[in-house]
Formats: sequence, C-alpha cells, structure tokens
Amino acid sequence: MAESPDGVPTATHANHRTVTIDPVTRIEGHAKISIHLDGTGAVETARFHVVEFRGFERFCEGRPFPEMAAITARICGICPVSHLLAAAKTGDKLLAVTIPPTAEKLRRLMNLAQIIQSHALSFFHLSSPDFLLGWDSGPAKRNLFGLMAADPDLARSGIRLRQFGQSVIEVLGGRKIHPAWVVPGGVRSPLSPAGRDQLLAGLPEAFAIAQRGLALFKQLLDTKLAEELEVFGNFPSLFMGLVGADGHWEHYGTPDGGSAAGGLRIMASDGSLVADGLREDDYASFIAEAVEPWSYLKFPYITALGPMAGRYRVGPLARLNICKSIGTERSDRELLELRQRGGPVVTASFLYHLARLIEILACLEQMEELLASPEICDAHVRVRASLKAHEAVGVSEAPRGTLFHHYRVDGDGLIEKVNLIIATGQNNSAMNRTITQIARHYLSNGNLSEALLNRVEAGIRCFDPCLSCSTHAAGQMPLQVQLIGADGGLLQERFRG
Amino acid sequence: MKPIPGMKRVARIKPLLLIGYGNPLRQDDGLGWHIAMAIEALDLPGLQVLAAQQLTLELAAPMALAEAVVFVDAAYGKDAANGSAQAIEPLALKPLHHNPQAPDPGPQTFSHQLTPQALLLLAGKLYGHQPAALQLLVPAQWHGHGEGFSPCAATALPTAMALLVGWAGGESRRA
Repeated sequence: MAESPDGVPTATHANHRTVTIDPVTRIEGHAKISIHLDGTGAVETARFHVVEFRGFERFCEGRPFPEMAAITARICGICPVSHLLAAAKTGDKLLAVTIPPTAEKLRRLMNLAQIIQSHALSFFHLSSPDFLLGWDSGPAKRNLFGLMAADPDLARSGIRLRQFGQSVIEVLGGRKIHPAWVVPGGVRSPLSPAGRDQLLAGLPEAFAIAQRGLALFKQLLDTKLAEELEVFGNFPSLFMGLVGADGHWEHYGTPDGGSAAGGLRIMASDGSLVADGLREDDYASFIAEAVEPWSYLKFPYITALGPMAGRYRVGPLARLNICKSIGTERSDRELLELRQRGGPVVTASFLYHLARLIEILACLEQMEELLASPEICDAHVRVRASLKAHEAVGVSEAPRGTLFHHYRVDGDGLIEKVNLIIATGQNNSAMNRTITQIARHYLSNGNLSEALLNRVEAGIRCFDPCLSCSTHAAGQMPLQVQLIGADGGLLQERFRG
Repeated sequence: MKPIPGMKRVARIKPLLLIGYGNPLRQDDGLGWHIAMAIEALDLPGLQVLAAQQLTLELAAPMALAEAVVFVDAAYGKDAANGSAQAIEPLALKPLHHNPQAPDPGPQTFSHQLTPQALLLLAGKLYGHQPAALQLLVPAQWHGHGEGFSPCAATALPTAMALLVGWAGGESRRA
C-alpha cells in the first residue's frame, strides 16, 4: 500500500471508521483531527487536517517589497516579529546591504522577546492545563479557567512573562504587535538609554518565572508525565534549524546567510550530520513540499532523501538538538539536563515543552548580554540603498521553527512572486505521526474515551502550531467528534463546548 | 481592588479603557482595530486605548486597572458570507452580559484568542477587579484579504466614532 508523507497508508478499506475531532482546541487557527479505524477497531492512521486557506502569498503580489514586513507581520497576531524579521532580511538582500551591527543586535533583541512571549503563552496557558489538571479532566475544566482555579499564581506568572516579552517589543518598536520598526536596511530608530534601563529592570522577574516554570515541569516529568515521553510523538526523524558560528544555538541567522559561519543544519536522530552550512538562498534545492488532498498544509521534506526518509522537525526541540551548545551558562546547564533525560538527540516530541522553557531562559540570558553591549544605544541603525537584486531569500527562527521568505521583484521593486515556508508546515508530518502514535497507544477495545481525545489534541499542542488566525471573525465553533463508516456514512457524532 | 498575594498594587492611571480588535488586512474584520487607532489619535483625557489583532489573555491586566472598558469589534450578520448586507440594529454601546460563575467557552474552544467575557473573568479572578464593561459591535460585511471597508462598514464608522468619543467624554466628566 502507498504511504503518504504522514507515514500512514493512503488507501481506505472496507469496514473502516473515522473519528473526527473538529476543531482542535487551544491551537492557533482552524483544524481538525480524524482518527481512522480499521475493521477490527484498531487505529490505522490519524490525520491532522488544516482546512483554512490563508492566501497571503497571492495577496502580496504587486506590492512594493519594503511593505512586505508590515504586510506579512499581519499574518499572525501572535508571532508577527518572525515575519517582520524574515521579510526585512529578504529586503536587505534585495538592497544588497549589510546592516549596521547595532541594528542586528536590536533585531535580535526583538526576536528574543518574541520567542519569550510566544513560548510563555504556549507553556503557561495553552499546555499547562493538560499537565496540571490531568488527561481525564474534561475540556470544560482542563483549560485556562481550570488553571486559574488550580494555580492562579502560575497563570499570573505566564501573563507577566508575556507582558515582559511584549514590553521589549513595544520599547523597541513602539507597538506590541506589528511594529513597522524592522525595515530593509536595519531598524527605524535606536534604543534609548532609558529604554535599555527599562528592559534591564524587567529581567530579574522574567528569569525567576522561567526558572519556576522549568522546576515545575521537570518535577512533573519525573512523576506523572513519564509515559508521555514515550508515546507523544517519540520517533526518529531529521531535525533542521539555524546554527551560529561554532555550531551554537541561533535564532536570527548569520550575516552571509549560511556557509562557513553557521547557516542551516540538518541532523539525524543518531546525531549524524546530514547537511551543514546550508545557505538559505539554496533552500529550494534541499527542501521539497508534498501535497495531500485532505490538507491545505503542505508536507515539506529533504529533497535528497525523499518524502519518507526526508521528514524533519523544526522548532525549539530541533534547535536544541542541532546545536553544540547554547553559549550561556544557565541555559547550557538545562540543555545538558535535557540531553541526560532524552538522549543526545531528543526524539520525544513531548519534550518540545521543556525545550520551550529552556529557550525562554536562553533568550533572557542573551537579552541580558545584548543589553550590556556598549553600542546597543548607538544611533547608526539603518543604511539606505536602492534595489540591487531581483530575487532573495530571508530566514529567521520563529518560535515554532525555521521561517523562509522568498521574494522575486520586478525592476521597480514590486513583488512578482512570494513563497513562504512556515514552521508549522515543516512540522506537519511530525504532527501526523504524533497523533497516530498516541491514538494507537491509548485506543482500547474501540473505546473512544474523552481521555484519548484529550491526549490526541495535546499531541498536536506539543508543536504549538500556528495556522494563522488571519481573522477572528470566523466565530466560535464547538468541538465536533464524528464517527464515519467506510461508506462515508456518519455513524456517530459528538460535540463539546 | 482586593489585594492579591504576591501582586504589587499599581496606581490606576487611566480610568477608561477601549480595546478595539480585528485584523486590519481582512477588510471589515479590522474595524475594531482601525477605530482604536483613530480614537487613540484623539488623545482623549482619561482614556487608554489598545488596538489588538485578537483578544489575548494579558489584556486582563490593564482591564483590572480600569473603572470601565469598552470592546469594539466587527459584527458579521448571518448573510455576510454570501455578500449580502446584514440586518443592522441601531449602533449602540451595550452592556456586556456575562455570568461570572460560568466561564465563557471561548478559551476552551479556540486557539489563542479569548472572548471579552473571558477577559473580564480573568481580570476579576487573577487581579481582583472586574471593570464595568460595554461592547460596540460595528456592522461588517466583507472579510476577504485586503484593506478598505464595505459600504455597510464605512457608513457605520462615523457613528461608531461619535458614540465612543461621547462615552469617553461622559465617563470622564462623571469621574
């Protein structure tokens, strides 16, 4: 039988049943999960369907390339900075400029803040209800309000960390979301000494919250969450992301876009390097995208290895797997502990949560170093130039993984073609494999318990997918569970919410 | 406001808060966001204005420092999807009804976004103060990719602005 990139058979047998969970709760965007059962009631496959078509790439055509940062930042209200940076870096290349050193430091500061606030939302508010309230707790309680009742201090701490990340973005860019401050050629304005002092003042509390989150989650892993490490998406795969010079943890990219000083690295689960020093400009030569009829989200893979062996993961866990070290003291201690817990290359997707907390700590440490830099308030933060190139690729590490922007422009700098490869898309295969593994493990006697459905949803949340909430006006949808026979008939339907 | 262990008391700087939300690149969906930006430009005394793409939980913190909050959002009628204008009720600021004992289902059914009711509950439970809350729902029709408003939204905008400016002025005088 043929296999799709999600690693499951594509043919449909007689006597199969399909369970559909629609939509998945507490992730970004619209999606559903279907669990396909065979005639014996065992799980054949599970699929993560993305049913919303975004259409931003087509929308960008004809716009001046300097506007791309502001436009693409509106793809998402949660992680706009990632698109800002990738767009601006692509613009730097179209202008053929090297931005001032202080501008790069400031861009890095903003990306660190973005990662902190996004990871804080994922861990403290979206996923911690699962950990603290238990899988058998119904969705009516296993949510933010349940967390608020069980541990209000943790809920407030998560908000404080998010506020800190957003305050950094606001101090730098003047606005919490969509700051048009990052531009091709650098940034619009320098950081004032007063702004620097304000950011420094917020660091001690942010460090304390991050450390508390780490202590709490490690304790849970040691006690009640041990099984999840084995079952929530634990499988071999490739891992891809940026590394810096000397193989250190990297989130922004190297000035020359790869090659000798860092660049993109692909590592296998056994620790072997599949590729290193890959240049972002060449991404189309090593990444291909498969398409499935049941999802708008594509299935990227490493071209040379094909759609199956070439499946890879990106994001916090991938970044920590591929790097030699983080380069700062406290987070390197945590990285060592992560590797002691999960192996030299961690394959358990459940540890994405721990990786997020470690990255929060790493971001805070790097932020502290950047703010201590003597030139961080330097006034020279932008260079101006005219269009020099007609095609460019920019990359940055978004909270959820590597983000590619690829533009082709005409002689007037108007966009002719855009290709965006987003992190969530690159984790698509891994998400499908994860929910299949969970469903196979927890389904017994064809009993579709709430606890099973809760775990399947939580498997997706390991990756904190961002499917783009490009409009909030779609309305609130209840959770829908469908049981569909092999002939397409609806056998059973359940709703939540 | 009840003191909460571990929380610092923060002086209430602006008694009124306006939160306008929506995606400004999804046509009428961005009505709330655009209105917030326009009101902010007026720099009205005693009014803090926040423009957001969506309602996220940290908004509960400034809400807990306000005496009154108004949420401004686009409201799509049931016929908006097929391009028809919705039946428009008279545009008005209306009290935001919610049951403080029963959490609104917003956070458990969808993504990173919350409902105004959920934010009110969070403000009360986490920060000890739930402000009086109003809602202004502006009629909307288009929600495709792009900028610009439908005729229906464009017609409602001046009235919406006047209502909000009047509210802020009236509340400030009462304070």
